[in-house]
Amino acid sequence: MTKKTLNFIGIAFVALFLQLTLSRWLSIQEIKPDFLVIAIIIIAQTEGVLAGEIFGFIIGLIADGIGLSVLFGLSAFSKTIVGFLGGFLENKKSSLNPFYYYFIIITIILIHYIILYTIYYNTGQMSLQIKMLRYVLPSTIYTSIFYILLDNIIPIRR
Amino acid sequence: MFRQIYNLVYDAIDYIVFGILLLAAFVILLSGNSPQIRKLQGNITDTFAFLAYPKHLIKKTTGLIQENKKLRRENLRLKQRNSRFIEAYKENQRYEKLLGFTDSIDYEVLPCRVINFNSMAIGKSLMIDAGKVDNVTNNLPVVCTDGVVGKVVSAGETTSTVQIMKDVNYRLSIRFRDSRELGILRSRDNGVLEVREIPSTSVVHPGEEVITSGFSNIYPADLRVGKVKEIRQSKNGRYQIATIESYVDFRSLEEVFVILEYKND
Repeated sequence: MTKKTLNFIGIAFVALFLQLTLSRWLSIQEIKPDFLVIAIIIIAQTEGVLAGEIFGFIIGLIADGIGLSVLFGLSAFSKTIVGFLGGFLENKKSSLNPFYYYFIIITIILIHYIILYTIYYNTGQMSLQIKMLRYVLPSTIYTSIFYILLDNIIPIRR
Repeated sequence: MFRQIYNLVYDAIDYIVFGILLLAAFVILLSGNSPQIRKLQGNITDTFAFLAYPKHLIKKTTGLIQENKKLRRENLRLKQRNSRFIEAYKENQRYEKLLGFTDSIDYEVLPCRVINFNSMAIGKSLMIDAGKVDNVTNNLPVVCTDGVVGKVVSAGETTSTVQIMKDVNYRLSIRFRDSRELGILRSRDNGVLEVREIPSTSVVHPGEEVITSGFSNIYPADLRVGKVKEIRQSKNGRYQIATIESYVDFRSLEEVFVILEYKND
């Protein structure tokens, strides 16, 4: 097993452990940070599109199993897209304006939550505006704050 | 020629793999109820469950847990029996001739610990420390001493996933205890429990107890569900909508029971 694979496994376990132990305590009005999305973006932008999307799919599938998603496969679907999009930032962080860089990261996280909540709350009871204001935007902001904090404490580099 | 195809595939490998993975995820999502997919989910839950309960493993080794299990089982049995007695009393009032009504309720329950609850962004579910080795299978009812919690949606070998009542995709056939009206309980997107389409002529009232109807293949009759918090007319005035308050405090849920077998009258 290569060092890179071990790194992937290590990051996946840390992210899953944080998600399972901390997310409930950090929850504000049912809005939780998604440490798995953060881990996928980190892997994707350090290792590229292919690694990012495969990592996203696997960790998403694990999250669906262990994270108790009733819609099994939904996290795998949304997190594969995160890995794919995050991969386009490979080695671009230093060349991008920080605001532009974080704007892209936040957009990726936003896309993830739009997919997640649109499919999960596909009951027709809630309008798109309410979904966005009640779930998508708060979740995006909360997860982005954690990403930005983490990125500034442990700068992400290859 | 082959070199060109190879180069083409090599250049587009990111997109090809992306397409395959998306398709795989989509297929898994669409076939979520198939036994194979539920088995896969159960296996994943089993494999990674250790991340969710390091503290629980230590507690499980102590003998006190066995004793607690026994007591909790007895407690639940008595509470459910009590609920059944209230029901029998009301039936007796309505049908005076049925004085010889006998109570034949009998649940075979399995006490379990909740080892993880609702840790992802979506879904309202919890993980319990019982699986196929304890005879837990999909679609078994899960209750606690306060009332109905949900049902098993994915049973692994040693752990299982339980869909709770507050999940938007959950449905439960219920009966209002006093008015005898039937309905389907569902959760709104914001987690509020509701029973819609109650005829306008029904006299469902706030505070009225809600119990399981027994018409479902999953739940036995007369399990406590909650009470009516509010009753209002629908916008078109054709029916009433009842908001239900569950007896269960899902945030502090630590122990639940899986009903492995039950007998109804």
